[in-house]
Amino acid sequence: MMTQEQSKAANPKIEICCRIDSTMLGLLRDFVTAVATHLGFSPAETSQIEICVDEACANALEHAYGKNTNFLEKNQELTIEIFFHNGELTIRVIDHGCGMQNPEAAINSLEEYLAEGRERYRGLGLYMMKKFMDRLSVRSEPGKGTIVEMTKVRR
Amino acid sequence: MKAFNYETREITHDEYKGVCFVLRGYIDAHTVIEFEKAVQDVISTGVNRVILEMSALSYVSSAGIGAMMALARKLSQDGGDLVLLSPTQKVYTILEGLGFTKIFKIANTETEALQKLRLAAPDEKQE
Repeated sequence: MMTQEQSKAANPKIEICCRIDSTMLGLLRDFVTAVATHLGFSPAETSQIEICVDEACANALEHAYGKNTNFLEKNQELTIEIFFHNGELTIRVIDHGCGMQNPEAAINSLEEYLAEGRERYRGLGLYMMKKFMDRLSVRSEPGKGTIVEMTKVRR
Repeated sequence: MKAFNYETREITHDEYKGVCFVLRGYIDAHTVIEFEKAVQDVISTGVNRVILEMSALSYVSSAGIGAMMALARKLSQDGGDLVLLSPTQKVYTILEGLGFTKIFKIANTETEALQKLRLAAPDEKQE
């Protein structure tokens, strides 16, 4: 039976709040990779977690704080919350940017991504999150920001 | 270590001319701009066959995959082709999980990559 201290150590909660730009994405990936590895996720699972967090953060930088919004002059603050409980790793990426009207709009298949006539290959990030994570939710409010919550079950 | 860097070398083959990019570091939302500029500079000279040597590329995000897809489509439209050479297990697993190993041409050796590029231009031999 685990002591209370051991139980806390096995179910960590980590919160990172940072002012971010795209040069820091690599640092965040390294951190998330270290956490997932420490918690016993396999290398393949860890890679999937890494890329999904990277995509959520990159989306926040581009869409919430991008140059086409009025939020550029505000702090580009991003909060990343990490919880682990009963073998499930949940990561929330929270921005305080411009929000989205239709937050879950994304491609649903590779065929859609590859369709002729698309000007640029976009929308793969959310598709990856749907594909690689066990649960995903995106909540957004125009003018207030977006919360991407994703959960990966350790196999 | 720099986040992303590359070297290029010409591919000399009896039947075509191409360029091999030896990629190092990672391609993410930040470094993809440098990657896109590098390939654009080369294909604007008329090169239509490209190998991306990826054994030292530790990570590719959706931005990088999108840039590679755009490059593959452009080269194909110009009668050429793109081959990904020796992606790491980590990058291959991500590509495979998304279905891109069926979309991209992938080779494990340079000989195999050169063979795949040659097959991209059967018209030249038929004449």
